[in-house]
Amino acid sequence: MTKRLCLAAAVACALAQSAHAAGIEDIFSLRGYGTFGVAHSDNDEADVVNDLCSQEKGVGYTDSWSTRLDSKSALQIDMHFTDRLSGVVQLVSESLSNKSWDGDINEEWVPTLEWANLSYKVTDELTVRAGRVVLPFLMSAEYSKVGFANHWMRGPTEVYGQMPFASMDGGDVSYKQAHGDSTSTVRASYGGLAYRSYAFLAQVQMKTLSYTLEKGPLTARAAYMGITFRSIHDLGLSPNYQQFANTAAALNFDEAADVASEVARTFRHTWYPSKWYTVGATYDPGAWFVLGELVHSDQRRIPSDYTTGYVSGGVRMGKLTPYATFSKVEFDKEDHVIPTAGMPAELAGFADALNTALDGAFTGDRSQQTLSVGLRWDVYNGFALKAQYDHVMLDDNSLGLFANRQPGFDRGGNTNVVGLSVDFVF
Amino acid sequence: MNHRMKKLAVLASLLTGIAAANAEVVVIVNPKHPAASMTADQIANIYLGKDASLSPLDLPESAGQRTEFYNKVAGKDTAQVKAIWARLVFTGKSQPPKEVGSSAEAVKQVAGNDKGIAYVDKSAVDASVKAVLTLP
Repeated sequence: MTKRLCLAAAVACALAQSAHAAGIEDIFSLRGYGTFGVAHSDNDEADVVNDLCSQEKGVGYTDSWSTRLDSKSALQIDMHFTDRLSGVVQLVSESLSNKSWDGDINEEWVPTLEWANLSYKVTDELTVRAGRVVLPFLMSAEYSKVGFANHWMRGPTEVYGQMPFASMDGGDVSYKQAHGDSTSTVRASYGGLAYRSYAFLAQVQMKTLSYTLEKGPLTARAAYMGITFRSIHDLGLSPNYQQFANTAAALNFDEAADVASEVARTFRHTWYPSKWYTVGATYDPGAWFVLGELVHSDQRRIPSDYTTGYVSGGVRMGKLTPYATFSKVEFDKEDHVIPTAGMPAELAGFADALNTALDGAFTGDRSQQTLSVGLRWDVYNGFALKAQYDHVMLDDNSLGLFANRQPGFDRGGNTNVVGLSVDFVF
Repeated sequence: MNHRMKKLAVLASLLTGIAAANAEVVVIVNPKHPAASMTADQIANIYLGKDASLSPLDLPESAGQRTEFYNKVAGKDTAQVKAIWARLVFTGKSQPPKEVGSSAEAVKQVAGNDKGIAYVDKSAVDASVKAVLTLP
């Protein structure tokens, strides 16, 4: 009897010890980040936005000064189940307008699930993840919303503002290998999502492949992304374009017919593929840093093909980091514009109407450049203050990357944006 | 100088000497770790999330040794280290070093973990751990 009691006591003791050793606080941790920012645009005929497809309202026309452009907050729960298995859930609240499946516009600031995945370390080199991940195409894409992790207050809209999908549901595999003093990482991901924006609903399928090389202060990266999307909403343009294409073909205006049927095809309920390519690099020896990326979007006609890039650099002086960024986007203007040379007046009129409709609604030349200068001040542990000025210069006749364009909007003009923000992490 | 003052002078220099020795920061690992020493770069990679082969420990943010460690070993200040970790943590890639309350606690944990690594006051180091780098 005593022996059994002793054994029971010993087991109970051992269990109690192990339970205490792996307490709840060892498995779960709560973290968060956020930005509180105020921005102003001097263009009162359109809104400056961060994300063209998901932000209906910005700063400029809707409000001259607003917190909605840069403010956001996020909460994350980390789960460390074993040495190999961990999980993460991250909710982000920001000013985005999303249409739910039934067509209602959600309110701004409703928290969305940005990350929700399980990660398994198969070996020291190989990691597999399944669930929701942020699309790893651009260099800073995965942490672009974490203000504190970036030197700039707002990244170049030309590059980062034209990626409408933040996250995807699927899986990814990452293989990391060290050779001497350099490390190379190959990453492949595959997934999809039901994309809801204020502009349209779509089912999207995406895959990415990236290669990253890190050696000392240099990080170089190349990535590819393939996207196929199917628009759920019939935007009503397809029948009109098809009708025009038929008429033009009958009258032997073959080039015009080709352009029109391409657009008609795009707006029907069909899968439409696009390919994206990017190269990027960062050089950060400590006292200063410079980074840049180049992106080309191919076979994506609405909006048309484009090439974009930026160079950004800064100097670290104690708690201050002054920086500057130059970014540019060049749209391939000829893609979807129906050529009207030599057409009879009525047909040309039809073509013009279609060109204008598409131009105003989705595309048209949006080529522009931005020069930004700013200052980051790491004023206190976990807090960074930032100030940034952007000078946006539209190409002649360009609509620029604005939302909410009003009738009085000046094509090809310049816009000035200023912002002040506080970034924090905990 | 009279006898008493001489004694005080010797005592004073002894104390200063001890204080100076105690102020040294040393990086320690478990005795089972194969290497006899490690470079600053190797240690920096572990503490900045580039190398996951060891489990690093941090002293509290208020500790002078922490600032000194990151400054001398990684060439980075507190804000930079925090920003680097923010990129890893908020993308679900890895966790920052676990924080312990004191050098003594760090020594205890490293002694009990084959993969442990920590930076501590030299005075806290004993035979249960192995020193691999002394900060300049």
